[in-house]
Amino acid sequence: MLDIVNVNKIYGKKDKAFSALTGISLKFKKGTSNAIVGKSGSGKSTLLHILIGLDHPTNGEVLYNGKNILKDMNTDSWRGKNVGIVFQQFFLQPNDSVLDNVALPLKLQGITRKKRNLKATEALKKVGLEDRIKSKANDLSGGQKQRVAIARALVDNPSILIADEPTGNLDTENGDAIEKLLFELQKKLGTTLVIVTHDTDLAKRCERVVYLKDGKIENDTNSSKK
Amino acid sequence: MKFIDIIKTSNSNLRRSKLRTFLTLLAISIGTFTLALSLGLGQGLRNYISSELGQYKGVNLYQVEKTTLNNFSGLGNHDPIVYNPNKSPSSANYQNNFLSSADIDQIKKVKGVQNLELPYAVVFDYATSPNGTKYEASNSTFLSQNPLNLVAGKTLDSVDPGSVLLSQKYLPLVGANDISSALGRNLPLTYKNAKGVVSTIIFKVKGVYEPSLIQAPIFINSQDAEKIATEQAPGGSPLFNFVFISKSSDITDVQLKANLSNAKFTGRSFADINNTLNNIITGVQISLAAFSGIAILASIVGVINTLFMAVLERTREIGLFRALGSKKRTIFYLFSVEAALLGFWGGIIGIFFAFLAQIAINQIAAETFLKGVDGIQLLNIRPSLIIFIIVVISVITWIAGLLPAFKASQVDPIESLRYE
Repeated sequence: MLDIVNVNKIYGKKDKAFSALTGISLKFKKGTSNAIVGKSGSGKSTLLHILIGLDHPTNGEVLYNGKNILKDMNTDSWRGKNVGIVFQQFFLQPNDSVLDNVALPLKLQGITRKKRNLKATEALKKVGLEDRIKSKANDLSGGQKQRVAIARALVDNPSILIADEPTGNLDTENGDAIEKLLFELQKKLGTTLVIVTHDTDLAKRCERVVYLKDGKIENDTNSSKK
Repeated sequence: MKFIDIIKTSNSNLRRSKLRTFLTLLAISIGTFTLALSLGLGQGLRNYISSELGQYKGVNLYQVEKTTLNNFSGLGNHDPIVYNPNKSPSSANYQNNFLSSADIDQIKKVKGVQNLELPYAVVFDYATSPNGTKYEASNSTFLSQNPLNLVAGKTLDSVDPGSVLLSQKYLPLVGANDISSALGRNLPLTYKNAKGVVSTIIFKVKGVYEPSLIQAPIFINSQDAEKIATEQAPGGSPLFNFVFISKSSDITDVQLKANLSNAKFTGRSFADINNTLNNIITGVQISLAAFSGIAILASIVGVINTLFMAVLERTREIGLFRALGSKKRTIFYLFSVEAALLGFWGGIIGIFFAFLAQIAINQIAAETFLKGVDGIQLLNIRPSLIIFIIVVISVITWIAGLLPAFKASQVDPIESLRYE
């Protein structure tokens, strides 16, 4: 479904050129859970940005159902409709209500308020926060904020769910709960999950783990460790 | 993103930094306030002139005078001027502007001129009312083309000795309580001749007209006017700086003025006078608006600064929007609409206070320096003017916001998501 084909990413020019990714090729199948693991500077964030079309590879291409996401389609629209993203820092609008935060991707797509509120309410039910719809995002705990972020990522039933260090800002208890929720929803909704993390315990819960080192794939396993 | 959502989002973004938004709106509203007042003042004066001169619209009446005011050099504060027989005398030599009998005959012969009438200047010492009260009696000689708005009685005929027309406000002079009862009443007018001999003529009121700023309160018939003016003229012959004529139907306005000009006379219709006054008001209006423009210019700098600050503050949010699928142009719209909304709300606030000021200023004017002048509204901020100002201010601030909005749209989403 989502293919990375021989992607290279080089920052800078000539003497100052730095290769962040070298010859990366990956295929993410529909409904699978995948982890990209690596230390800081391994290139996992760069790979994530290229994967969702926020960054352009120097060479190679990213294909979604066989189509180049940068050349064959409107990348922004594709990302809005097909990709849900969960960030480590949540990135909620602090003074907006939980409902408005979850409905934000739908608002950006131009969906009417009535429809987006319905969908956002459904998404909040999935993460168990239907009773906090009217609360301000700022009034929530860290774990609740990440649940809201997951609801926002899933509000339009995306086929791909990207999670960038989803438990990085949470304590162990909340982190475990968020992990559990992510995998439950991934199974239930049949979403392709790609987690970018340096947490090997979290990575091992995925069906497949890709280890990156110095911008290259060090190891790629369909581990089924869960 | 739907445009209505862009407007709502931009509007709610204004409330994020309330103090900064308030100060920016204050600056814009001050500019709008002064602009609204200056344009409202011009409009008020224009309306008044139009209402006063509007009655002359379409009236076939021209004021004709000598074309000599071409080398004005002040009345006295200048060096002696050497006489030049081939050159019109300086206007400082005021007597030269009087029309001689030959001049008047020449005007009559100009092609297109018909029905020349002389504006006899008659000075009455007073009018005596039935109860013996003496009133001042400023007056004009009635011209056949003079467009008075009669409210009772009839206008004066070309030959109508002993008759006058009276302004509605001057009914006490004939002891009348209402306009219809004034008709036929006696109006004794007293004057002195050139030797100082006092005489009184008893006129009869033939018609009553609506008062106006530019119309005298009493109009006397031309026969009596000629008689009295002749008695009052020191040399036994009245002098005129100008005369009134009508234009014959076989000639255009431009042709008539050209013919008069060739004969070294200047003819001006009342429409010309109206236009001249309007041009003066427009000039004043533009000058005042230019000062308001400086205030608005200063507020634009505030708008640009406010938006650049907003872009910096919301860098992470821009990155989030882009990561969630927002297009660059949506980010551009969000910030540019926010700039336009600053202008819109600043405009509304400025107009609101200008409106309050208008009510207060008009009231103060009516009770003080414009007391007794009916029909004048010093400030007139019309609905169309309000819409015009708000649209203009919104467009100006929108333009001011284009650069910050463009910068916001170009923010790198990856960098902005890392932005602290």
